[in-house]
Amino acid sequence: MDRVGATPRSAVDRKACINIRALPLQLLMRRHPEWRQRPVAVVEQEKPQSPILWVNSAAAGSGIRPGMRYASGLSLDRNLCAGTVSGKEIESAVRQVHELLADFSPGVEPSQDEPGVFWIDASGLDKLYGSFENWTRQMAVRLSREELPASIVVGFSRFGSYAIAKAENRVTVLPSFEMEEVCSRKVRLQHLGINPSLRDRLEKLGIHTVGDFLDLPQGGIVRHLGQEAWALYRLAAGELSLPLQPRMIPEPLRVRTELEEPESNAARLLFRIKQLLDPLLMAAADRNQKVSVLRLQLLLEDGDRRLEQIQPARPTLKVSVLLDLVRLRLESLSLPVPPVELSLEVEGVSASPQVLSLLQRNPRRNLEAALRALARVRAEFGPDSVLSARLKSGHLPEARSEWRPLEKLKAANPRSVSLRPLVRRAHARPRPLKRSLLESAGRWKRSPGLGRLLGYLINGGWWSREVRRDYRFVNTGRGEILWVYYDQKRRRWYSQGRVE
Amino acid sequence: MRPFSPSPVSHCPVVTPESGGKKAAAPQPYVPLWCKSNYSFLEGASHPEELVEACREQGLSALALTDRNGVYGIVRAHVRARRLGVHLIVGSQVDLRDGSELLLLVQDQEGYRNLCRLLTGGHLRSSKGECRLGWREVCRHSPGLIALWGIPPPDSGSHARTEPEPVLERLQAAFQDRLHVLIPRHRRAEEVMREARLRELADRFGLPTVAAVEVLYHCPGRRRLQDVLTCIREGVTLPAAGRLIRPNDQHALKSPDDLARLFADDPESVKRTREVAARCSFSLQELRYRYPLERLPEGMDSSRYLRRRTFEGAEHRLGGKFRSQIPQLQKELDLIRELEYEGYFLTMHELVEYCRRHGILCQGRGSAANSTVCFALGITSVDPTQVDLLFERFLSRERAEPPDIDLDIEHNRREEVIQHVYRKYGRDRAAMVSNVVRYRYRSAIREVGKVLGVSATSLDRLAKLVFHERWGEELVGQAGLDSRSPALGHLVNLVQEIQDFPRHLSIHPGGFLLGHRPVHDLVPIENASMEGRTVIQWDKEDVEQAGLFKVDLLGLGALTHLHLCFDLLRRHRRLSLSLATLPREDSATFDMVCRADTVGVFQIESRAQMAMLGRLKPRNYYDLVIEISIVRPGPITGGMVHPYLRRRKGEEAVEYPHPRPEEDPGDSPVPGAGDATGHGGRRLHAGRGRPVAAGHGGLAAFGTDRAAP
Repeated sequence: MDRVGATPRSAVDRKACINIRALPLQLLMRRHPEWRQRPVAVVEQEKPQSPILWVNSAAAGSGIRPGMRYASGLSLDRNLCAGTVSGKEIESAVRQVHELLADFSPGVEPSQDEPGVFWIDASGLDKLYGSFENWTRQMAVRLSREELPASIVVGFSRFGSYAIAKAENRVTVLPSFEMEEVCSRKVRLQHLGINPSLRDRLEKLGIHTVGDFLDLPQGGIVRHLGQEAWALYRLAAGELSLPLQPRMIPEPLRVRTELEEPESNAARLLFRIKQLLDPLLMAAADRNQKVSVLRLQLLLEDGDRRLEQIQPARPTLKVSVLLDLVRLRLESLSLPVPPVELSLEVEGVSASPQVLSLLQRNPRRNLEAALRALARVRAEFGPDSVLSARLKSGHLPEARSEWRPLEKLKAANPRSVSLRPLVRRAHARPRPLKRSLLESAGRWKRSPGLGRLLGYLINGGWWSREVRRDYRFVNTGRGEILWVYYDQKRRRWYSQGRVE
Repeated sequence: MRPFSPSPVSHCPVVTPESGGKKAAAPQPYVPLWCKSNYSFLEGASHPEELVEACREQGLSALALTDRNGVYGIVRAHVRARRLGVHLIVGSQVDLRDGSELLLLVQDQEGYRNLCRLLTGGHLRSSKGECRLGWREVCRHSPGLIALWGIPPPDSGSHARTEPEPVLERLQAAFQDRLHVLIPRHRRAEEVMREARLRELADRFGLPTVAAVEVLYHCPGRRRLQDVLTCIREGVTLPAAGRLIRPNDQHALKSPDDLARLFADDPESVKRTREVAARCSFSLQELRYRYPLERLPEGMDSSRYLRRRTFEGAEHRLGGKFRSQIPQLQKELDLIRELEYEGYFLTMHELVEYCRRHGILCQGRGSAANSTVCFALGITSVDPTQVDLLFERFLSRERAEPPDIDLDIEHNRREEVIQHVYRKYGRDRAAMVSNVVRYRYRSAIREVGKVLGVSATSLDRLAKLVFHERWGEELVGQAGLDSRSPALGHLVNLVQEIQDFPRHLSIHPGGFLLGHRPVHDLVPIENASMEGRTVIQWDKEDVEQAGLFKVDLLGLGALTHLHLCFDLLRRHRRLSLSLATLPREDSATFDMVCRADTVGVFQIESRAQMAMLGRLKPRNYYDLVIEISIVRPGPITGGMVHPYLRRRKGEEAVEYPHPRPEEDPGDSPVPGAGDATGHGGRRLHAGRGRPVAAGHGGLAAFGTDRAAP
């Protein structure tokens, strides 16, 4: 059959397709190795009515297909295990594979629609690696080391290599375009990542392979099967074949320098950092980004590494602001040996001018100054030095509040109280009570202020880690009121804090 | 000096001066006045029966069941309390509009009536499952009720919006000496401050205090389930529940010793619980229920009117056999009069007449088919004299149970009949019986698992498996889940515990409670989820246990289809048929039935029925009765099917479990699978000790595989 629109391929224009079969499924299997022998499916959400996105061969053997509801899959095989794989996880895995493949070819294009499918420009690589077989073998070894077995097909066209890679589970080097065409026509449609409803419809019509599909009269495809089928037809016929569009992996904004001599002087070190920081900030500005985090890594003379993270009050491109914070950090650092190498990496964020201007409005209180001060504190004492307390819903004293890094500084609004109430001041962690205190505890019973009602009981957490605490407020007779509890699980007394 | 440490096993370590070497006197029993069963939906974690039993085991003589905004569980508690000799105090914990809560205990009949009215009012103006009352209406319904004020707000952080002083003033004016201040102690941190405030108010208003523990479960082991129920109610997982769940396990029914220790500093409040209980003398047995009177022609009482309608109907329906049936009619009518059930029969008759007048097909079913009176009144269409049925199975003096007539109505016109009932009796005298939706394995797995944080897909897998397999750790393993995981271990236990727990109320398919007096004097009425529908707080079993009459109006699609068939026959064949005049022995129909060509035929269209039809080959009405009776769980699991078929074919001798039926086969009722059909087991066999000939199908042909030679 003469295919309209088919373009003649050059024998040197080689493309390879790499198909990491059902990448999200493999990620799920990596997470649950105990599921290897069971039918497994990746579902969109952890819900019975959620559609199945990928299945393994055991599940496929039970007739479970992508597109079915999880509940339907379960009715076909009640041992079906399922889980979700987040877009972030997939994105990170694709990026990881992309980086890996970039070692083998400068032109790598990850598929936008199917995670796990990559096209690689293979032209001329047979010369470099001796043969395509050598090249593909090395790639396959690298991928399997990452527990991502893949099928690799070196072919001539985008669709042809893709179709064969989807159907085959091995490394294939096709010698000629004709051979690619013959092999791709034999590929069953169910192997292609096409819409499940179109796939089922074609199956019902007895169209099982790419060849069957391409043999259909063109005129009726849109009318009878719709636009989606028509697009597939044109893709399979080579009419929509686009040249490879390699995607570049964005390089991190990082710079490293070796010091000529171990540097123990903080001022000189700061000067070297400034030299490195200037080009980094220019590169960030080129990307329309501002610096939100600056990471400074020092390689010490003894081979040890120190990583310091500096966070400005708000994203900035000002060298002076960043250097000021770096200076504070360096001043607070006590290094056992001087550094011999330093590297800087900046993390940028894009922020519109409007957003930045919103942050600047605050007429009454100078939050700007407060933020700057806090940034300096952070720079000097580390990122965890500025925290704020938040109330939580819990019964245990330590579960009633938590410390979180301060994200937003609010204006203070203190209440006026006429009589200062008693307050319980809790230790950061309960402390075991000393034996001497325990021995004097016999006197507590006789303390007139100690009614039974002053005690209370907290027990619970049985679903994870059970606690049983019997609390008391104890007047020691020296004017001190201790807040103590008896841990019934550990069988000992602890001090929770004191009453002031 | 030995270091001081409370006993690790005790939940209530003692630091009191009282325990310092002094020998404590034997504690006096108390009465738990604040107990919530699992009928406080998704709050209480014990069945009412369990609470009553635990009360008895602890040596307590009385218990107040105070479910939230209702008296849902009191019938069950009452039945068990009567059996165990425990004094059951009826009460309820009611929600006020301002976020406060109040405990109301019933002293006498008037109090019970007031409580039911109060709850009905609160429920009917709120959305389903809610009840909001105002202080004023509580005070208006105070006669016969004791109020216990002082329930802490659900979340210790929040407080009722209304100041306590004006509320107490109002309550004191209404309840007078029947108002008490509740002193709850659960060993919570905030209780100390709260109790001080309550005592100060009690002193200021001169109110007595009563000791209390909010009992949510009968034993501390149910605390976990109570936490889970709370999470289900609030729609959160356990790790995220925080202060929504109780801080400790101090909500179990306490022994007198434990309570005495807890209130060691205030024995007077403990003693007062007994005084309060002594004032509550009401028992559910005192409920006086009268069936509503039908409108009667002048000069007639219901008995005479029923007799007249029965004889008129019998003459019309029995024709030539009427005279011979007069003694049976007389016997049935005498029993109905003796048991004072005339009104019930007249109501059913009126409903059937209404259906007839409006061209709605209806049909009484079940044991009512044993009654000639029902046949004469048109309630049933099976002539009991033709099919030799047993009246005593329907109604007997010895059983003393109210008659139960289920009326099947064309399903698409049932609403017309329901609205007719509402119109005729009024919404206050007619209310639908509720249906308590309970936890079964599947629902329990899904809801408990969600609370424990198990993934929805795993729960779905378990829920599907549990249909085929027994619930337990093995099933978790079969589902590919790690049964050693703590969450799944908890799931296994909690799903078992929550079985049969009520979850919420729904509407019974057709049960109506009719009363001479407003129904809301007997039991509170609340809104159902369906618009315009109200239901009572008791379900079918409760209504029966309480000895109330219920009218079942059930929708049946098969009657709609029959109606359509009758219309078509009339239009195309000029053949006028009704349920009563359908030809009974139509051989073409039986041929079709023998071929098991019964898809779409009511009762015998299931695969099991169709499989049996081919072997049983029914040729008459009785054969169909047996067909329907034998394909049931009881006979199948009891191994009766094959012996029956062998004996029916004469391949096996009939054995009698007792010589009496063999001697007197004509009148001996034998309980068996046939009971379900109304046949009652009569006509034991075709010949004494001989195998029954094929086609006669007497119930003596039933046996078990074990009995077979």
